[in-house]
Amino acid sequence: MPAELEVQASEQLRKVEHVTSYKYAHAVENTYHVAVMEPRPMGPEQGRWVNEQKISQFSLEVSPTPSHLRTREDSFGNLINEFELRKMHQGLEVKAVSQLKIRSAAKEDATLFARTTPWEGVAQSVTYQKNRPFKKESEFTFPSARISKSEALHSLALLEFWPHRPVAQAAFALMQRIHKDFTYQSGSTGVDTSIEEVLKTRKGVCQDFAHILIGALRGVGLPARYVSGYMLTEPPPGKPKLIGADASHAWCSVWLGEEGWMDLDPTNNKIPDARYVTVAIGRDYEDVPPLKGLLHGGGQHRLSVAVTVS
Amino acid sequence: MSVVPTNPPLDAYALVASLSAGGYEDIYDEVSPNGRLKPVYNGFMSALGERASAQEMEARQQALSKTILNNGITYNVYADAKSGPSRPWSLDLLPLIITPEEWQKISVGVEERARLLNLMMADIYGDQRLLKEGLVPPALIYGDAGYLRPMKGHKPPRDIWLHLLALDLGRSADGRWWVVNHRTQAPSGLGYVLENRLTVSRSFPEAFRSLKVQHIATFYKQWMESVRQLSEVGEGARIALLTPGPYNETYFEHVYLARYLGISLVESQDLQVRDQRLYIKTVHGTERVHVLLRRVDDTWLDPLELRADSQLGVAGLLQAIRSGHVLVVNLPGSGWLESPSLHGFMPGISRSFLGKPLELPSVPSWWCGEPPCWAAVSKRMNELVIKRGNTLRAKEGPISLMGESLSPNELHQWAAKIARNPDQYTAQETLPLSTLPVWRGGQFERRSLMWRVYACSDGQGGYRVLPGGLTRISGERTGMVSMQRGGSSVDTWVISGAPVDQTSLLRDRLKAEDVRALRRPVSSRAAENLFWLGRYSERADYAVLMLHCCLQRLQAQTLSDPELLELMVSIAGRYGLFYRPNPEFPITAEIFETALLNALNDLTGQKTGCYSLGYNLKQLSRIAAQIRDRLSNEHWRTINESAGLFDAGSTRGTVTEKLARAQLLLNAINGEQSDRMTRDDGWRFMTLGRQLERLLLQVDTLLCLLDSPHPFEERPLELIIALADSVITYRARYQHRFEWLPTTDLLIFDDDNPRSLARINYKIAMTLKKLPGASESLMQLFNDIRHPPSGLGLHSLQSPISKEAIEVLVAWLKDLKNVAKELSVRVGTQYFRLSETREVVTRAR
Repeated sequence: MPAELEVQASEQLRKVEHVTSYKYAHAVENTYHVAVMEPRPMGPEQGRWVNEQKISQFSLEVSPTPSHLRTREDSFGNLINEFELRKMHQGLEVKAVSQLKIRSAAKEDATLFARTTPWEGVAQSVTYQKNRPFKKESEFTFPSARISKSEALHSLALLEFWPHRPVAQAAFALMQRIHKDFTYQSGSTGVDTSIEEVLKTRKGVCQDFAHILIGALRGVGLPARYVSGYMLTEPPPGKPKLIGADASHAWCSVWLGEEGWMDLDPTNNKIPDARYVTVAIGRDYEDVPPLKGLLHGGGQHRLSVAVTVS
Repeated sequence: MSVVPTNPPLDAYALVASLSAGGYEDIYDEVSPNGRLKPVYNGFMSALGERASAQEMEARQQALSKTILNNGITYNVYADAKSGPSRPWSLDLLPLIITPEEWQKISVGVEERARLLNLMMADIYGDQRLLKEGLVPPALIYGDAGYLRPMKGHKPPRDIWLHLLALDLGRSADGRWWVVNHRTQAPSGLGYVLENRLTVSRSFPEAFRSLKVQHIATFYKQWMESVRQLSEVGEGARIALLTPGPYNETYFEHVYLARYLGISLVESQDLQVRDQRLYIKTVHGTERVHVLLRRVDDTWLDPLELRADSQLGVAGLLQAIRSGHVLVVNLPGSGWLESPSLHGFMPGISRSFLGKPLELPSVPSWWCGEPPCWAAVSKRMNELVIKRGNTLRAKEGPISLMGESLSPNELHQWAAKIARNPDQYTAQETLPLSTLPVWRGGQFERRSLMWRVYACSDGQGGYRVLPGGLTRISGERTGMVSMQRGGSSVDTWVISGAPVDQTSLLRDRLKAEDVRALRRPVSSRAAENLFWLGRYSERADYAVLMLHCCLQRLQAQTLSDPELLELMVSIAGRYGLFYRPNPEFPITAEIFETALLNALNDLTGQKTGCYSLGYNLKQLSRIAAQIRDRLSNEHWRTINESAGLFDAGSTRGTVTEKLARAQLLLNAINGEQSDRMTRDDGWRFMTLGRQLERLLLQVDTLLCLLDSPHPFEERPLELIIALADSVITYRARYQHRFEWLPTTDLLIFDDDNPRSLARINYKIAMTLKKLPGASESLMQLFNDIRHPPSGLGLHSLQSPISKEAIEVLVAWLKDLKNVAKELSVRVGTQYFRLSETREVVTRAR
């Protein structure tokens, strides 16, 4: 196939609909919500193994209509929408619709991986020493709210990070190992399940796998960040694609030094391609939960989420 | 340590002699460095003159302790705050005295460092030169839980982030002062500073005057002026002080400061953010708050953007701050400035930011995250102090270890621990803190001290330094200085070279609108607590009376009348004073008495399943603690004493005496509530609570009587009248044996008896009328039932007593009871609702 065609094939138009609804047992008078659902633009400066994306349209519909709605940017450059409802309501629906153009990241290429610099040099470049230039990526080497430092994570990383191994090769191999050693089981964990628990049970969902990979990479001193987004899923052969069958997704990104960032999806054992949509970047889930809210009263509430990527 | 002779005057030389005993070669003494008395202390002792005897010292120290107890100055120790009582604040006699020359240097150094710390805040949430130029390692910012990303990019008015900060200073053997700690989030102590000053200056009025001690009130005034000025609305700003609540270790101080500064004391449930503005929820609706002084640490301030499990903050507060509609003092995000690891980098930062070395240096420190530093530190850990700052994991919180107190084995273990996470640790040179004499058991003893100096922003980028401060002294001879570890404090006197400033906190003459604006709003939470304070006070009153009546009759052994016993059982059951698992089972006088005592001693209500007097009094004090700022010291003390009355349990032998004491205390509480509290809206809710409770209990009593087999006999009637505390009135008025008709007159129709339904209903109606806002529907509800139905009166109830008339009475009583309960609920939904519901943080994937 001519090279030109391949590039075009890797650029895709995507539309994402993300609907979250709450039903309360009792009417609620006041709510305050923060949504991290508006995709951020991603440029080529991120690195060759990260998708580029341009946002052509975004809308956030909240019903009932909120009393106040604001948009701001957080310290990681994510787009935050927050809204308040100040009248009695029985439930809440939040519908985020995004349209984007995505250019796929470079393919997985063992030869290229082998040409990246040894990992120790990258780790060294983000540790502090007088007169060594500051690297802003060092922010992602420290423990964060959900990912603390541990011997277990460090040892896990050392299985692939042997001396002088090229950094991309080692990181990719670590992702493969986690994919192999951990079992994906929908509903096996909740938003608050700790990383220690997942290390013990070896079961989890995308958020947990991303946390494990990030923690292990930080364990050997590399900057690693959490990416929240979506992935287009293919229906089983011969079946139509169901609306709302997709889900929000999460993966990891590791810093390779000069090569910039490399996205890694331990859940699907691959570098995210044009089927992936990036929404936000943080240190872990806690920095970028898709929807976080505060209710006054309301008793028990039921929450449902439906995502459709096309 | 030598003992000071008790008889001769305790002159300056005796003081020095008492201190020159051995063991302190390398330690500076504030009174007599190098064994020679400082001239200021000489001046201090001469001002005391003839009266500087040992007996006099003893007397003054005792007077001081008594003042502290009387004023209710306390310090809660976290560990036992929930179970044990708060501990009295500890204060010692001799002040730390600072000369004008010394103060000149210190105040310049403190001002300079305060300015620098503020510049560092502005930088880290702005351009981050500190990081880019390698002045601070990323670990001290990105790895510190105190760096708050939501504040990144914020520009506060005039770039002032720290409106009030404190530095802990220690003095080394050569007499130099060093900075040991930065306190930037919500420094505590300013209230205790005021109290200490008030108390100690009264203990030594002669010396205080003759030494020309600098006054401290101006500082507080300027602090308030500068935050007003920086707020969105300027001079007219409403200021509130946010406290974590009564269980916080320095709650006393929050109450004290709020009163002294004339601002509202609020807890998180009192506040709400709407459309980026902060409001206080009051019984009049919501009112704006423009400045929030907070005593809640950073990460607890906003459950939406910071710790989701926080019940101490306000959702949306950070966004309100970023929008500029509220000024939070201090701004969140300075936790990283408090890290011990920062001190090693302060010299470099100062050179870069101020172009000069610091006037007042930090204790020499080395951050272990730099391999060469750690290599050097690990060789001499036994001589150093090892510290750890805020990490993201709560279980690895701040520590401070004296290397010299560790065994070789422990040193080895710590070295291994540090080597695993060197970023988190820093080593400091051991500072042999200077000492001050304290009066202990008839003699002076030396104690180590640490001096906390405060600085507040002048609103222009500079800082004003409080001439004085909080000097804390160690509990043991030397070593750690900490109020939590049993230390004490002394006043700090800065001697003035010039005439002293006489400012007190009174503002310029008030204008009419100021007078109106200065009236404290009554928050919904305070109103709700006052309402329940009223209800519990009244319930306790009735419980005491009932227990007294029952036990008296049971113990007199004249109880041959089974019907009277049955009536007592039924009323005591209604009041919750005892529990009868099986109503069918016959009850004897003895079983009843035991059950009453068991319930009385059950302070939690969990053992016996009933809520008797002991429980009631505990509830009363729990509620009073929530509104401590609205109660006088006497009121608070009385409630506290009553809450402890039944702690030790009571027996048949001691119960009478205890009940008598409880009655006395409750009368005093009643007096405080009816006579000494300001009659604002809060007081009205308390009165309403009291009267509603009285109505409910009185109606219950009457219903029990009418439900009993022989309601019109003398003994039951006597019991009912005694329960209404009306025996004397009855006797004086009717001079007759107890009969049905005069009883109904006294307890139902009489306008003058405070426990008659007519009088109670009148007071409820009057109170409802005066409630803030639209209370018409409440008044309507009550007025419909307030008066007895037509036809019900003395005439209808006289002998021969008709069954129909009694039925009319019973029906009315039941209606009254239902309406009273309904009123309580409606008052709650109308005025307290805002404070009721708890917030829940939810997250979706």
